Amino acid sequence: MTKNNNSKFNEQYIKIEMDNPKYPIELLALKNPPKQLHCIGNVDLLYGHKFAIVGSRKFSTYGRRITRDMSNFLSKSGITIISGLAMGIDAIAHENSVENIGSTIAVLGCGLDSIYPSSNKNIRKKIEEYGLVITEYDFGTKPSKWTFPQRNRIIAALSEKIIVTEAGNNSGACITAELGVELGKEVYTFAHNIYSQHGIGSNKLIKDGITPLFSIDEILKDYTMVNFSQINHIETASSKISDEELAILNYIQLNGETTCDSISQKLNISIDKVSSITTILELKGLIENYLGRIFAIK
Amino acid sequence: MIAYTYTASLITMDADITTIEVNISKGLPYFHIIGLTDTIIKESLERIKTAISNSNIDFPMCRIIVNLAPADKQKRGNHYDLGIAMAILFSYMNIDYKDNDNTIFFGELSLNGKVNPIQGIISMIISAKNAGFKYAVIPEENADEATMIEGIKIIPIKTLNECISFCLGNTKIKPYIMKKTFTNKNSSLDYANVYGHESTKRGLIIAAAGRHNILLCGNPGIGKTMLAKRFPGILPYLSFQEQIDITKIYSISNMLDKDLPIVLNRPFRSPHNNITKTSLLGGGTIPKPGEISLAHLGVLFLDEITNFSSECLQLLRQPLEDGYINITRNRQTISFPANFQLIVATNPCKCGYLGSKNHECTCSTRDIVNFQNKLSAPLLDRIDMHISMPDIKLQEINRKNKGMSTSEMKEMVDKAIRFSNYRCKKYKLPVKPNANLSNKEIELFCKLDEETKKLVENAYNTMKLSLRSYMKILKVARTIADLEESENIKSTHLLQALQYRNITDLYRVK
Repeated sequence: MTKNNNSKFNEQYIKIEMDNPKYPIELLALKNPPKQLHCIGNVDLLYGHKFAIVGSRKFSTYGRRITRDMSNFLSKSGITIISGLAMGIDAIAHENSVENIGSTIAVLGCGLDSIYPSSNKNIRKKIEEYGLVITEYDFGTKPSKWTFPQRNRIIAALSEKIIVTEAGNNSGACITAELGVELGKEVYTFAHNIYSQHGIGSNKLIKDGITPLFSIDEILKDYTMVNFSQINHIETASSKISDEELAILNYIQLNGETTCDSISQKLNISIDKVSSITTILELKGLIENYLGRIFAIK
Repeated sequence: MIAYTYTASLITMDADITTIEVNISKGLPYFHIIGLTDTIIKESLERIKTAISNSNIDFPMCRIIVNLAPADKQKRGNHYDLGIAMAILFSYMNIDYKDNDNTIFFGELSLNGKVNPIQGIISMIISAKNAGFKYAVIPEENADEATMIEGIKIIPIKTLNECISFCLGNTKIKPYIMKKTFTNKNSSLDYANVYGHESTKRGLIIAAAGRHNILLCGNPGIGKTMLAKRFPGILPYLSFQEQIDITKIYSISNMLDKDLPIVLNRPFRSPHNNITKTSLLGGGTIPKPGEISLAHLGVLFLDEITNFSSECLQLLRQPLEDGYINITRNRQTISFPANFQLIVATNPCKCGYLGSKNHECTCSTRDIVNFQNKLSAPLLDRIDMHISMPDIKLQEINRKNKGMSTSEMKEMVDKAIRFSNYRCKKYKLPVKPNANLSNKEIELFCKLDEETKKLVENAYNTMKLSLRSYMKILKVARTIADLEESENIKSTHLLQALQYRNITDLYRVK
């Protein structure tokens, strides 16, 4: 056993070895199960319903939207989200889960003492507080090329379902999906624009026989434990909006993505009115403004 | 015998009156100038000597000492030639010029006795007028520029001989009267030629009315530069005093148009992004105004802001807050005015196509993060309005509906400024644009009703605003209310202002 020379972690971290009754049995299905798990956070999360949301580091706004919606939906339904705390899709999945007071597990490809990538410092801190961070690697293990594919097998083994929201060509998310299929897990992905380089991996998975999802809530259709009370918050919010707001919201939903200029032109409403109404809708959480482009949420 | 004349020395923006004393005494031929002079003045000896000889006057073969008083002030420039030559001739030829105490001389001499034009005349004429001089003898080419200042008679001369006969009273030269009239000519750049972008134009109107600094963020080729270039057109016209203030800066920088001796329109400066900090802020061994001073009362446009050196951008912060720049050189501290409106343009990422419908962004996540880090400099805190410009599809350009023209936009801006100035006067406060409101004045002018307060609280939490960006939003909301001539800020004004919040908030991945 390696010595833990980082005193900071002494109190917080828990080590679960293979012979420990707390060791998740799912991992034993692996050919080379991890000898031990180093954990920080709420260990109980290992025994609930767990879905993996994985994807590539580089993402499109479409992929970002799917990941965000999926993560929000699952968090609100009480499902733990597993991901790899990498940049991009992983970080979005974790962040949205934490924000929605959901539970999330981050599986690291390095020792608990190194924070990689450093841009995820804040998310990691939040996950340690509200979720769970696990790794098979000892303290002092630096992230390297081979540790990440290795930790993917843990993600695949731990989760009931694996959702690849957006994967580029040769993405690590495809490895997780393959491992999941080998382990007999349900793996899902989404269809992507064939002209976009961001979704090549996802489309390849569909070609290889992975089931594509056509809506977010499809993922839970055979689950009865879902707590739907929170999911309908959007419908209740939209009942309070005025006719003009509704007209603009409908237009945005129809187009999926638009700009203030085109709303003003098509609906013949002055630009200052459009800009104040879109802000209201944004505050109500019905639409989103990303660099001047307006998207409908849900 | 001793004689004297007056001229002025121009080191900073404002000139100081200098007395030229000449003493001619018997002795071996000797000619020397003292009084903390620079090389140009030292070289003037030869110009003066030759110009006097070539004006059919024998140069005195005596001991000539020229003193420029006060002796402890640095002097520089080519405009001392005429004053020194005249003082020598007054002493040598015993000319008794009755208005000597009321006359100030400026001009560079050519070897053949011609008087050449000089730079910075307008500042020197203003100082001369304030010091009580009645006549200014100046090169003919500078007459148009000098006549801008009323209350001093301008005597334009062509040659040294002409000047001598004027002082002798042999020829009468009538004070110069400007023959041309200068009116604000409208620029050929009109917002009517910019298709689409109505929401951005609306943002620019708000910026012009409140003098808010703006950041334009959009994909390459979308029209950021086009929109910025037309911006001075919608700003209110300059008052005469403001025109003089700008002309002073352009005059000492030797940048005045030959045919147009006064700056009539608000300047628009767009320095290239490899500019050094000296040319941006001003300075050099001979302190010259930098781009920020040349943009005084106008617009400073920094395109591709991420390519500017971070040092340059950091140094912009102080003048942005104070409206002037202090430059310290070995002998003195010089202050140049720099009250400019900043327009900054940037792409959203390294490749430029982040968020574009038509092109795919090829940046890695790291590239995007690095790019945003470059943007998140404290400079962005001083920019009130951040405008993201979405890309436009060709079909979306409605050519029948031309959109707002510059004159329509200017009318709205003028109306809003009148309204806000009236409010300042009502509270007996100095008139200032909304962008410069202090926190105390924001509290006074930006009163919110209960509904709006709730709204702003909601926005503060949902959009995760910082306190500073909250203050900026209040200021922008005040300007939007001014545009509608509304006494109080209503919720619609605030909602519109929220659209212009910090761009880094918009980047945030949810």
